[in-house]
Amino acid sequence: MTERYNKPSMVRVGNPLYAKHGSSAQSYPLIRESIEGAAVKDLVRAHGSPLFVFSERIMREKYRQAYDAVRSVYPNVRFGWSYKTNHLSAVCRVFHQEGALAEVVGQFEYEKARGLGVPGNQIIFNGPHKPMAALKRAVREGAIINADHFNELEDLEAAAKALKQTVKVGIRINLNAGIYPIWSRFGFNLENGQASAAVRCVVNSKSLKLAGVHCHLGTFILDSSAYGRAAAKLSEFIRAAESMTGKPIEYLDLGGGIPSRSHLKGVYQPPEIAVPGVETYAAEMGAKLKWLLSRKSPPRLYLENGRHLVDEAGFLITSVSADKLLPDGRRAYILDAGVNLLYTSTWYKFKIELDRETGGVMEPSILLGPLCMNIDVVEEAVLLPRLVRGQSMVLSPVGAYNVAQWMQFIQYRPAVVMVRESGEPVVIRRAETLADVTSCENDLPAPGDAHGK
Amino acid sequence: MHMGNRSTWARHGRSLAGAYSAVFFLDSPWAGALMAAATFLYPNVGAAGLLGLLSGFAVLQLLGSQPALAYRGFVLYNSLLVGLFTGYLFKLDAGVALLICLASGLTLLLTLFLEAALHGLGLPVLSVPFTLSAMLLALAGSRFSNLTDATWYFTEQAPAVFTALPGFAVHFLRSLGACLCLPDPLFGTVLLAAIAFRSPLMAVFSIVGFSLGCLAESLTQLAPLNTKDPHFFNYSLMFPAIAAVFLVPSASSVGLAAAGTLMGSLVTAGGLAFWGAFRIPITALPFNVMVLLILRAVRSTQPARLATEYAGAPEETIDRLRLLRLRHGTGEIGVFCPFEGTWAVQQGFDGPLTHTGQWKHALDFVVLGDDGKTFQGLGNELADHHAFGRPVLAPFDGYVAAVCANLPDNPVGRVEIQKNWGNYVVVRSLSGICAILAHLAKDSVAAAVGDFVLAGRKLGECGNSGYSQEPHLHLQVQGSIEPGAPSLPFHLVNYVRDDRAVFHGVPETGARLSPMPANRELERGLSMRVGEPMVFSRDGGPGFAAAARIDEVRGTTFLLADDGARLYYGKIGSQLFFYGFEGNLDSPLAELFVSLPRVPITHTGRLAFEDHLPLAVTDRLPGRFAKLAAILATGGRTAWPAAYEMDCASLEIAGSALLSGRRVRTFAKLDPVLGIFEFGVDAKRYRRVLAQETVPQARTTTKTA
Repeated sequence: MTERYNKPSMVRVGNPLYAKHGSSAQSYPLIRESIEGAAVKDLVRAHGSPLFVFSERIMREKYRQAYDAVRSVYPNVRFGWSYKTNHLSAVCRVFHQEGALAEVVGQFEYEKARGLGVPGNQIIFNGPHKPMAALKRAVREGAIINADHFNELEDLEAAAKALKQTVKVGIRINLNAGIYPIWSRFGFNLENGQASAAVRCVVNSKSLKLAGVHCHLGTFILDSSAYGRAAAKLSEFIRAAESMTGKPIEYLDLGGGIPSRSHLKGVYQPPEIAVPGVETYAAEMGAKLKWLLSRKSPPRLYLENGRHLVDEAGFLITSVSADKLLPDGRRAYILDAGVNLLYTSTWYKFKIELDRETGGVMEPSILLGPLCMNIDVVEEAVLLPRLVRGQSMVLSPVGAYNVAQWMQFIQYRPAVVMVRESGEPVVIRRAETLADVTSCENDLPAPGDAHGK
Repeated sequence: MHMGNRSTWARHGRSLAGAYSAVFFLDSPWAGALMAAATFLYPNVGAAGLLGLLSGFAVLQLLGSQPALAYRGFVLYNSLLVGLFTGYLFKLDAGVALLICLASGLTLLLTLFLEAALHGLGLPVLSVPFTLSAMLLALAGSRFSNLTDATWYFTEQAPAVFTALPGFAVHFLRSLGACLCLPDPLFGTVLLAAIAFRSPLMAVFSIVGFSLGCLAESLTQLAPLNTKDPHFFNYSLMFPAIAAVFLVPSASSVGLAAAGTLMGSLVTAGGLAFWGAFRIPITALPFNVMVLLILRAVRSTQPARLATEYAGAPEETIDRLRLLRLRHGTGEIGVFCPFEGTWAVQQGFDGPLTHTGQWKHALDFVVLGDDGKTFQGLGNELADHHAFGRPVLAPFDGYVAAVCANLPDNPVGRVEIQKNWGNYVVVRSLSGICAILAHLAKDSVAAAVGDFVLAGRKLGECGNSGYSQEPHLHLQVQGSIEPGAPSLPFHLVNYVRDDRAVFHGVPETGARLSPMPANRELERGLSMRVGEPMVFSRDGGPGFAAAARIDEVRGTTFLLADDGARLYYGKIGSQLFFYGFEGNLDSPLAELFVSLPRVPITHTGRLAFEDHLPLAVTDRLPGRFAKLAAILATGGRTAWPAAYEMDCASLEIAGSALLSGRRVRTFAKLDPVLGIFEFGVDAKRYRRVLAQETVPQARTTTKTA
C-alpha cells in the first residue's frame, strides 16, 4: 500500500525556544483512545460519528465535590440543576439522584422537570418570561418561584386570587458585585432601590408572601470574590427586607455562574490556572453568610449550578471527513461536526485529543465544520500532526449548553451516549431521523392544487 | 362503649392469665391460661390460687393503680402464689378463703413495698413477698384454732402412668409442679409443655438447673434425696432466671447460673435446717437469695451484662439484644458528626499521639484536599488549611455547659502547652453526658454558657488554638464538663462512607466520612402524625389501614394496623427505623418491616446499607430456634444481614432479605408529602391510597380545573 501523495508546502518554522517568552505552542499532540474506559474506536463503530459522550462518573464526582465544598461552610444548602445547561433526561436524572432540585427558566423546562417526576415543590422556577398558564401551574404545585419584574408580581397576585391561595415568592435581584458586565436586565436592581420597592410591593399584597431572595451574577465568573461581595450586599438587603416583612426569609438563592475548567478565548492562562476551585467560591460565600448560621433555623441556600457540573463530563467525538490545503498554506480539515453542534465554540477553545498516534511534524491547521457556511469554523488555528481521513478526535469540554443549543441545520443531530459508572456505554438520545424532523410539519398541498383552480 | 367494656375485660383477663406465666418469667396469656386450667387438676389448690390472684387484683384496683402496672402480670403473681400455697396446705372453706384474701392482699402490699425498697439497689422483687408471706402464714397458722395438721390437704394423685417413667423424670416433673405449689408429675408435665410452647430455652434451662441442684445435693448431703421434698423447684427456677432472664444470655451467664445453682444448694441446706426446726417452709427462699445476690454482684461489676429490657421470653431477649447491638451499637453514646461536608479522621480511638490512656476515646478531624493533603499551597498559613474556619456544629441536643473563646490560634507547627484544649465548647446532653469540641478558632464561638442548642447548630469554627499543630477539630465524649475529664466510649451516627450509609460506627484513622445531609422535605413526610390513618391498597384491590399510636406504658411509638399488628418505630436524626413487630407474620406490617427496616432521610446519591431483621419477622418457629442456637453457639457473632439500596432521587429502596431461608426482593417507595408510599416483597405491592378528606390540595386542583 503506497501512501497518498501530498503536494509539498512551505511552512515558516519559528523556533520559540530561542524567544524570551519560551515555547507557547504545544509540540506534541494529545492522544485519547478511550472515554471512561469505552474505546473511541468502538463507540464510533457502534453509534457513528459525530457522537456526544457523557461520563456519569465525572458528573457525579463534580456534583459531590461542589456540594461537599458548599455544605461544609453552609450546612443548609441544596443545589438546583440548571435545566438550560443540558436537559437530556438521563443527565437530569443523574443530578436529581445526587440530590439536586430542578432549576428551570421556562414553561418547556418546567414541564420537562415534572415529566421526569420532580415534584413541584422541588423545582426552582426562574426566568424573565413565565406565561400565565405555567405560572398558575407552578403556584398550584408549590414551586419555588423567583419573580423577575413587577409585571410578574402582578401576574402572581392574579394567579393567587384565581387559585384562592397565598403564594410564596422570591425576588430576583441584580447588583454590582464588581464584575462586568453587570447582568442588570434580570430582576430588580439593588442599588437604585427597585429591589426594596419590590419587597414593599410583596408586603402590601394580601396574597403574596416573601419567601426568599435570588441573585444570579452572570456566567463563567472567574473572580470568586464577586460571590463574597454579592453575599455581603444580599446580607444587608435581607436584614432590611426582614425588618419590612417582620419574618425571617426562608431561602437565599445565589444562582449559578461558577465556571468549568474550560478555556475561554482571550484568556491567556490555561483553565487549570485561571479557574479557581469550587472550594474558593464556597469559602467566599461561606465567610459572608456566616451570620445566618447563628440563627435557630438558618435560611436555606440554593445554588443553581449547570456548567460547573456537566461541562467537563461531556465529550464530542468527531471524524475527519476530508483534508485540503488552503491558499494561504494552512492545512484544513473538514469535520463531521461544526457549529451546528458546538454552539459554545464561539467563546471557548476546546481541548483536541486525537484517537491515535500519527507521528509527523506539528503543523498549523484549521478545523472546519460540515456546514456550507463560511462561519462554520471549529478551531481557527491549532498545531496538529498530519491527520488521515476517517480518523476521529475528541473535543472537550462540551457538556454544557451544546446539547441544549445544538440545531438541526443542514445536518441531523447525532446520537448521545452516556458511559455508565460501570464503563458500559448506553445511548441516552438516539440519532435524529428524517421522521423526527418532519413530524411537526404539516404536509404541503398536493402538486395538483398549485395551479389554484 | 360496649366495645370498650369488652376490651377492658379482655385486658383484665390477659393480665390475670399473665400472672401464671409470669412465675416462669414468660409473658404469654395463652401459656398462662393453660397453666391456670391445669391447677384445677386439684380443684382445691386451683380455686385457692384463683382466689388469691383475684384478691390481689382487687386490692390493686382499690389502690387505684395505673393500668400499666396491673397489666404486667408480674405484680400479681406473688398474690397468686400465696393463694396456691394456702390451697396446697389447707382445705378450702370459709375461714381458709378469708385467710387467702387477707394474705394475698398483704402480699400485694409487700410486693409494692419491696419493689420500691429494692429499686434503689437495682434489683427486682422476684418472689420475695411470697416467701415472706408463706413464712408469716406458716407462723400465723399455728395460732389459728381451726387450722391444724388434720386439715392439711395435699395428697398426690398422679395417674399410674408416671410410675413407668424413670424416677428422675418424675422427680423433676413433680418439682416443676411445685413452682406453683402443686408437686404433681401430671401438673408438672402440663407446665413443661406450656413453658416449652412459649420458650423451649426456658424449658431446657429448667431441666439443667434441676439436674445441677440434684447433683449438688447428692454430692454434699448425707441422706439420700427425698424426692417428695418440694424445695427442688428452686433449682429449676434460679438457673434460667440467672442464665437467660436477668442477664444477657451468653456462655458466661450460663456459667454464672451454674455456679449460682451449686451455691444455692448451700442456702437450701441451711435454710431447711434452720426454718425446718420451726416447721416453717422455706418455699422459694434459695431461689430469691441466689438470684438477688448474683444480680447485685453483676450490677456492681459489669452492669452491661444485665438485660436492660426483658422481652417476655429469653429467646426474644437474645434476638432483641443482638439486633440492638447490630443496628444501633449498644453501650456507647451516639453523637452526630460535629461538621458538614467530607472530613477525614486524623487520629482515631487509641491513637498513637494524644489519644491514649484515659483520653483514648477521641477523634481528631481534618479536611483533605484532592491531593490528600490538609492544606493548599505551602501550608504555612492557617488559611491555607482546608479545615480552618469551617463551621463546627453541635453533636447532640443539649445545653452549652462551658466555653472558652479568646485564646489565639497558634501559627502552623507551633503548639500551646499550658492551655492545651485551646478554645472549646462543651455541650451537655439532656441525659447528662458531655461532649467537648476543642481547638476552635479565636473569637469564633457562637454560643454562650446556658444556651440550648439543637444538634447541627453552629457552635464555632475550626481553628488552631491549644495543643494543635495544624487546624483540626477534636471531639470527645466525657462524663463531666471540665475539659480533660476522662473520655467515654462513643460512636458517630448517620454518616456516609464510600457511598454506604453508616448508622453507627467509630471511624478509624484515615477514614473519610460526611454526615448524611438531611432531606427536610422527606423528613416532614415521614413525621408520622399520631392518629392519622394511612390506607394502603394491595395490588389495586383492598388492602389495610394503619395509624401511628403512642404506647403509654413504654413511651414509644408504633404503627397499629387494622389487623391488630404493631410495628414500633423511632427516629435518630435523619434516620427513621422500625424495630419491633408484634402480631401475625402474615400482617402487611411485617412486610413493611422487611421492605423498609430503616430509612436514611437524605437527599443525595445512591446509598447502600445493611440491616438486620428480627427473627420473629424473618422466620417461622423451627427456623427461629435453629438460628437462636447458632447465635448462642457463636456468642452472638452470627448474623443474617439484609442488603438495601436507596435511590435518593426517586426515593426508592430496593433490597434483598432472607425470609424463612428464601431470598426475597423487597421494594419500597417514599414520598416527601405522604411518607411511606409503596412497599412490598417480591411481586406483592401495597400502595398508598388517599382518603378523600386527607388531600385538600387535590380538591383545590379539581375545583380550578
